[in-house]
Amino acid sequence: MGEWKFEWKRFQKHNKYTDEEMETFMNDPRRAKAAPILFSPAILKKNLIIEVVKSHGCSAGLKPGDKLVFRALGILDPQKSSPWCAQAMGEFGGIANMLQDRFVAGLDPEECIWRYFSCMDCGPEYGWGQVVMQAYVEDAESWAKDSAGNSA
Amino acid sequence: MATEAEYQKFLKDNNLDPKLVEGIKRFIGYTNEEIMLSTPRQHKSWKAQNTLNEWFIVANIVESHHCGARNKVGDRYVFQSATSLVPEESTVRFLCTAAIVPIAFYGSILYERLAEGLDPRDFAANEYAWCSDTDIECGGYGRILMKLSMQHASEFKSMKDRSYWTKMKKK
Repeated sequence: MGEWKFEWKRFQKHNKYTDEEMETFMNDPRRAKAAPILFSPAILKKNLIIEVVKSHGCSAGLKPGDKLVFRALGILDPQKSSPWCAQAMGEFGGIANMLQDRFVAGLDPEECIWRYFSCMDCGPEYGWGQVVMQAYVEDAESWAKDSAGNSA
Repeated sequence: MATEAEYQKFLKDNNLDPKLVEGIKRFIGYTNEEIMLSTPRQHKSWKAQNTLNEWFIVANIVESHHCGARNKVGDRYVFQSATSLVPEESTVRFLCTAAIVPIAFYGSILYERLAEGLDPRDFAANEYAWCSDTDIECGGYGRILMKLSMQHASEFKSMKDRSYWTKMKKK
């Protein structure tokens, strides 16, 4: 298998950008630097997992061990994920941003500081229940064929 | 209850500066037992705390369309220490949760980058964020676009005299 090379044309096709939009994107050093890393085979080997670690009184039925699996640190894989509660999703975007930032910076996303968070319910004393979740990163099976840079 | 010797052993085993931990205990109110529940990941954030206090997240409003909170171009939201909104430095007419929520997503990025010794200004996430409203044609009121930056205290320009809150106090 040859060395992987990011292809901007394929990226443009994948995101359905016009030439003008593509030019704007590539003229932004921040996005131009991040795209080849965030669309690399390396990130496709990283799954973001959100797992319930504590649950009491959860009327949605979330229990310890329930999981969501996000491919490439941000794309939900419904087939590998448990049913979930809308009120327990508020932090996901921030966590994905932070992990992707670490990845682009060349840091191990699994070594992040911030990984625990709770749903917005507040337990049976003041609400219904409460769930505490942990975010972590684990190596995925090979997703390389799905790389936008390679296959779009 | 943990003995003093057990507590000191915990500090030593975790390579924690007793002065730093005493400061955190005073500020937040942790007991020795609570300190001993902490993990190396939390210690990493504690060690970044002094540096963190020197940084601001600034969200400048660069587009505003029918904003119901009257946030206008040129206004800004300011956060210190990653998560603390500073109203007296935020110049908007009304502080809007639909704008604050997307800004809050940048707090952990600032924290992580400082804890790793990286320049927070080089973050990879978008520099721009829309508030969560969607304007009149998509079932909402309006919306604003913000440009986010991480600014060190040495470059941060205080706008206290221009802020709505300060004006209100003067009246």
